Amino acid sequence: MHRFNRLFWKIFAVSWLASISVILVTIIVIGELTERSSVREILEIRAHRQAEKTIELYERDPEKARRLVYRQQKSRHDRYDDDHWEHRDWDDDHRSHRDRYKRKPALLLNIYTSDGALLFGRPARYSGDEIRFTYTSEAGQNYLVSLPISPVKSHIARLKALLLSMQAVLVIITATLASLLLSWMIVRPINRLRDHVQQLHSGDLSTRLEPRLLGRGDEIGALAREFDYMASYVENTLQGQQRLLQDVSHELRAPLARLQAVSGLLEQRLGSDDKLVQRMHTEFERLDRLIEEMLSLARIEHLDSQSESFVLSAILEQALEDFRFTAPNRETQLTLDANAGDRFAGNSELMSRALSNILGNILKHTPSDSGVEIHVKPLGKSTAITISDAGGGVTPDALAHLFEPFYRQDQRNNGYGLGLSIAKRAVTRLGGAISAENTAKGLAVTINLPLFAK
Amino acid sequence: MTASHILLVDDDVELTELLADYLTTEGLEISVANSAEQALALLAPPARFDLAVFDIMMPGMSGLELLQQVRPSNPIPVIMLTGKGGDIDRILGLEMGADDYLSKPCNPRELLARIRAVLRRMQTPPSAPDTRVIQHWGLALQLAKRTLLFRDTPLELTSAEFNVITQFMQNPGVVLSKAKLTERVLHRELTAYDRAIDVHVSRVRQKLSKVLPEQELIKTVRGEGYLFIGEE
Repeated sequence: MHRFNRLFWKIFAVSWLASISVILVTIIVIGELTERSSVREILEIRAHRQAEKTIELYERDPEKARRLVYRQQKSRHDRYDDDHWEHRDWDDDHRSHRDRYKRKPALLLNIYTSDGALLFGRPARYSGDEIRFTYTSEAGQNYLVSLPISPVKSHIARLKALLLSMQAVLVIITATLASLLLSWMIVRPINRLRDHVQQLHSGDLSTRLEPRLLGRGDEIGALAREFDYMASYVENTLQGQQRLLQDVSHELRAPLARLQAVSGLLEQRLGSDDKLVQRMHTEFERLDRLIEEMLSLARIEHLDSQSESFVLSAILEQALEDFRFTAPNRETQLTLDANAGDRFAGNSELMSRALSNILGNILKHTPSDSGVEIHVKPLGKSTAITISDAGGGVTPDALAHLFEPFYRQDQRNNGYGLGLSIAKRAVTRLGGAISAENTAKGLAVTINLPLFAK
Repeated sequence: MTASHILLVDDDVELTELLADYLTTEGLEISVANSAEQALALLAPPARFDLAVFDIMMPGMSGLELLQQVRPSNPIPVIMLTGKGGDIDRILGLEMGADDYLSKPCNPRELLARIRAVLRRMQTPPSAPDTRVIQHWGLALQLAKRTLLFRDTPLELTSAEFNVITQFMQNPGVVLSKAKLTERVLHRELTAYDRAIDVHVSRVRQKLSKVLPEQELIKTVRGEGYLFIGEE
């Protein structure tokens, strides 16, 4: 899934974290502001009710009140102990047994008499926030009631509750969806651009971006338009160069043909044994081959490589047959792995040109009695065709430039001409790759062809 | 024996002059046409040429179109001059049925050799008229009349194509190499990247498949040559 590449997840992660934190902080802050007051109100009401009950009971029967407070405090520690909940002294009746489980435990109230003596509760050591109020009993006595509240504890508890609540799930889902959408919106056009550039790179210079991408008003749209502009520029330049090369080669052919006719007339007068005549023929052959190669290179660009398919073994046989014909004393060996593909997509001429140029290179640059081996074997999702010679190989420097046009190892040498560049171009147009390496015996050129997708 | 009369068709005026010079010195009689239209005028009856050389790439009507116009009413042997860089493959696709192919620019000596080979083939008189009739799959090859009949209907074949089917029907079940076929059919040696014989075999195959579509009579033996399947 190339769509979920790294940039996609980076954007997703950043925006997800950002939105989650923004939402969480917002909930906490707003919750704090609203809940703090409401919690306080509820606590105040409960404290009033509990104080009223305790004080009224105390005024009637101090001993009973002490027992009640004692039970209340105990029940805070083990509130699920059924026994305590059976007592109805302090409880509102009419509630089901089940309900009592849900009831909040009694508050820890500190009740002071009007002269400041602690009646119930613990001596106040707590210096934080507290609820304070004065309660006047039916008997007219004034009591001071205080209830320490710990805001820190409720804060953490609320966060914990929030994380486990439905709200949190919704927040996470929303944040995830929003982040996915954002990532997708940014990465998708970039992926489109990349696919497009890949297409350009693979040789299809005439492809243009879709209008949807070009019509975008934002930076990506601008980038897409620049890309298209650049592609047209490159296409025009390359086409111009190719046309020039083709025209020049083409124009050269007419004078060359005339020159050859003249050489034939000279031969008639001087005799075919004449050294100059023979030399002339040799040079004609070179010139001829060079022009053929240049035209061949131009022609490769114009061959339709999409709609056809070819049988590899047949083309290999044909190429080897031509090779054997030119050099009958060289040994040839063809090994076809049964598991390797045999039918490939593309124009057969591209493949036969690649092969004939690689084999032609071997004919030109290896000793006239050395052989050639071709191995065809499966390689992952492609088929590897390796053409090895026994010519001793090339220098590492030459290896790096082997597929460049007219690369020569040293100035005296004839150079590699265009043969391997043609092979490379043809293989590229077939959607494959070509590489070369030195083996123990000589040079091995490997063509990787993608398997026929059908 | 009078000199053979050759028609040279190429748009390059200087080239045709030089080639005419060369070929005349070699004892041939040469006429020149510098366009396909001119060639058609020259080829119109009652003209009598022994052979024509057509350049494929000419402005206006190309050599291929010219050949289409000339054939099949005129059975004149034709050598096509093809461009370098893949033209021969295109011709293979078009199955034009010239008698031989030569890529241009070429050594005039090579052109002369091809012309002589084709002429030799045409002029070989049946020394003792071969009255044999060879039969396979309902095909009847009449060597004396140089015709091939399928259920008494003659098939239209060029001279080279007739030579190809003759080689096959005389040697059923025998693999014939490209070199041997080139020698026997085109009366010359096979050269490197030479597909001329393949063109002829392919044309014969196509014509046979029209009358006998269910049976592949000529098989390709990879790396070796061609094989005609004989009747059991």
